[in-house]
Amino acid sequence: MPPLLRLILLRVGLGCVTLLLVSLVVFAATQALPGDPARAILGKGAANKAVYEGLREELGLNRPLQEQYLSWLQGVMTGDLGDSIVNRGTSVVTLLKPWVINSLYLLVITSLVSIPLSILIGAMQAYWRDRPFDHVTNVTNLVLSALPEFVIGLVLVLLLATSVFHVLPAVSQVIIGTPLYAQAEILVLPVIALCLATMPYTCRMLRASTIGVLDSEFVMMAGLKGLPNRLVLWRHALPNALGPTFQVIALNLAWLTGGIVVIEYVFNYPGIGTALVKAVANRDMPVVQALCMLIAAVYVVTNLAADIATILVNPRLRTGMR
Amino acid sequence: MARDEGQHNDQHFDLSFLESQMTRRATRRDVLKGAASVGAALSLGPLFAACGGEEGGTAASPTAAGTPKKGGNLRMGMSLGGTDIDPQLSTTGDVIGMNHNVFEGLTTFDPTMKVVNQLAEEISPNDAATEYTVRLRPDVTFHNGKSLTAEDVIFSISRIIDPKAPKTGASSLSHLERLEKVDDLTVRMYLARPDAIFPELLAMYSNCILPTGYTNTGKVADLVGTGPFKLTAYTQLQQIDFASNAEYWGQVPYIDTMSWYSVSESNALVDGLADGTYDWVIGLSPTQGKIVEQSDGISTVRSSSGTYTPFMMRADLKPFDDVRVRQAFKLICPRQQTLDATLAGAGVLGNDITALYDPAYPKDLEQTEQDLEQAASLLKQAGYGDGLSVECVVCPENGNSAVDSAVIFAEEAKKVGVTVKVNKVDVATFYGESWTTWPFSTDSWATRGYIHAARIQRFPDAVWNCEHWQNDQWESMMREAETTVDEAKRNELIAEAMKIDREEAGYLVWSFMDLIDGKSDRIAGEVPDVFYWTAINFGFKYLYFV
Repeated sequence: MPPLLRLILLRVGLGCVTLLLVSLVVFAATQALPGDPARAILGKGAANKAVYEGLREELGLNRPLQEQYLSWLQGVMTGDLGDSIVNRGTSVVTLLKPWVINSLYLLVITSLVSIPLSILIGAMQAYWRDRPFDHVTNVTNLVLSALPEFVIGLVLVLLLATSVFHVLPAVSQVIIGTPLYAQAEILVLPVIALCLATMPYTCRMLRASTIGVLDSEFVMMAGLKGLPNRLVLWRHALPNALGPTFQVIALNLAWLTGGIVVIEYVFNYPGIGTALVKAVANRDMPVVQALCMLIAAVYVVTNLAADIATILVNPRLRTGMR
Repeated sequence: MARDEGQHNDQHFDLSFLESQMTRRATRRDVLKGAASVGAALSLGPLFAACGGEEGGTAASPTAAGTPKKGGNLRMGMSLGGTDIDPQLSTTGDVIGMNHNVFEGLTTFDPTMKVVNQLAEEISPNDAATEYTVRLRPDVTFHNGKSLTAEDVIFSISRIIDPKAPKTGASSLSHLERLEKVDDLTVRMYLARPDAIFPELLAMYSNCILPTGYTNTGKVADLVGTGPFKLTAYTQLQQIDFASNAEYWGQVPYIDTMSWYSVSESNALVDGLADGTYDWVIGLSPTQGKIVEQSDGISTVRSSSGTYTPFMMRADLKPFDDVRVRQAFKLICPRQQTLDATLAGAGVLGNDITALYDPAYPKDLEQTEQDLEQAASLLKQAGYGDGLSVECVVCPENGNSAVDSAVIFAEEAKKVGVTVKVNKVDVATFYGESWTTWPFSTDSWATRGYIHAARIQRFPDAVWNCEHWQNDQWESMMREAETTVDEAKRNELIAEAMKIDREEAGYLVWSFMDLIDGKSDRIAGEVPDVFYWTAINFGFKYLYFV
């Protein structure tokens, strides 16, 4: 079996074990939280013991913990993610589908914009290191990575939607019934905010590793042989510099999947970050599980993809693999 | 933000410093767009005899000069609950909103908290107030075409009080023994004990009438009521769509459709209103109201209301078991200052009696003012001359007025040797197992009649009794009032009870707050309502585009 395929299979197997562990921890954590779905549904009404106890019974919350977990796990093994506890009669899949699609839009568009752009900027910084462009970009990257995301989001709203210019909507209200691509203007500000939040890390990573590569002997050799600078940079230096950068990109992608709660909150965008916060607030175990497993799966897949990309890009690693 | 049985999933993100620096457009307008404020005391009397009030009370008087246009789609932004919709288990804002638009009850409250008939045409008690005969309005149909009959009423009310799965209104209807069908349009209800305010209990929004056989499937097709709007689509946590009910028995709404959109962050409400994403937003804070008033094309709608965020002292625990300590605390609170600081003055001052819109509420009360000297003297008499230390538990979910009022109180209390530690806890903790047992806390309550409020908050068996105050004289007066069918006599008894309450009970009501909504200037016809939460109490049936 080719080593690459063996690696993939091994990692997929380990990934499944990871997901199982995640589900156990999430289950324990949601149980440890004070309150339960019945309390979330009733709010203040839960002080009425009769109503509260009746609802608990109805929702199956009085079953022993292992029974609750195992029955959920059994469902998952057969592909059934179960029903939401607080939205009775609605399956988790039906509930989460629109949210996941919304987040996917943000994720894909942000990645398509930020990854090539940050690679370009990082390479340019390395190429013109210590010149004005490099200094300005460095400072900008530092400031952007130091600012909390919601500040970036709010400044964008102030700048482009409410106070200085009024070119974009201030609130990313998704109108259900119209496909998302027909409402594209609501995606612009969240995407810009997310790009500004993730690009600094990739830029700095690429800049550092490209500078390292540009100082190596084979690059000097290529230059001495008379190859034009641009060719040296793009064809010889960059592919070697990209290795560590893939790891950063993978981390960014994984973060974008689960960690954009703040941006979604600022723009009122209905993505899985918001869905997770609400599900936890409602102690809705099946929904929380489904979302956490999704995010964990994205982590596993993106890390695997990053490792494979690193290997493919660096022939030395291909043959040295066991 | 006011909060009661409802849960506001309002994640608190207090960015008021940014708010104050935001100027919407180039021009600033300092005009308070005329918002009608409903005046104060209007009678709250349960309806007995044949004078069935027209549902909806006074007709909508347009506040903007414009002729009502039929049609249009209204978009509203609000915080949506995210739990399933059982209309008789309404605890979140969206379900309560649906109670007011899609569903109806036998009686309801008009915009001034007066009980009026809705699906009932006439409700007549017997002399002892132990039997109520309800005659239904004829020719009412559910949204699925089925006619409203006595069976639907019996099914719905039985469902509420079903001991195996009681709904929100079950505890207040615990004395309802049985229901009997007299004919297709008449139901008789038998009570275990006399109750003069029974129709007021039926008016609670979660006691709505559903078609026989309703079960909570979560499907839109099953969620049929008799109200002015039909539910057309429901996407959890995101959007709820309605269409106007052309076969409605009352006045058909002007607008054709409306959509409610989920907004989790309260500043997004103002942003969305300003850039035209929403036509209406509910539940604004006074600061947000100011921003809306300064912007073009949008304005606020204000209503005074009986909503309040009091301090509650447990009269059965030290140090509050001494009435002098309770009285001292009532004198420490700087009421006008607290109102100005926490609600920007949007409200009326309180005098510790809870039911502002009850007809028995005294008209010419002398306003309780801060009196630190007297407070210090009372504390000394009670044995706390050397100082006193208490903890006040507050929940930020209940809004600025619930939290900052405690902070201000703590500052003032220092001057008389009382140390108040303000402890902010989250919703799950505050309303968790320890709720109703906090020795000293603040909370948010909706507008209610005095007897009804006592049943929920003050009687020894009240399910939300956070006060644990025992006073035999007060209780006996109230129990007598409960069974006094004659309204004037009943109000006299209540007024006497209120006097005792003000002197000795454990509630410190420093003010009642105004409710503020925001609207686009293209909308008019709103009817300010004193109940709770929104300035119009979800009264979208009155609105029209100009």
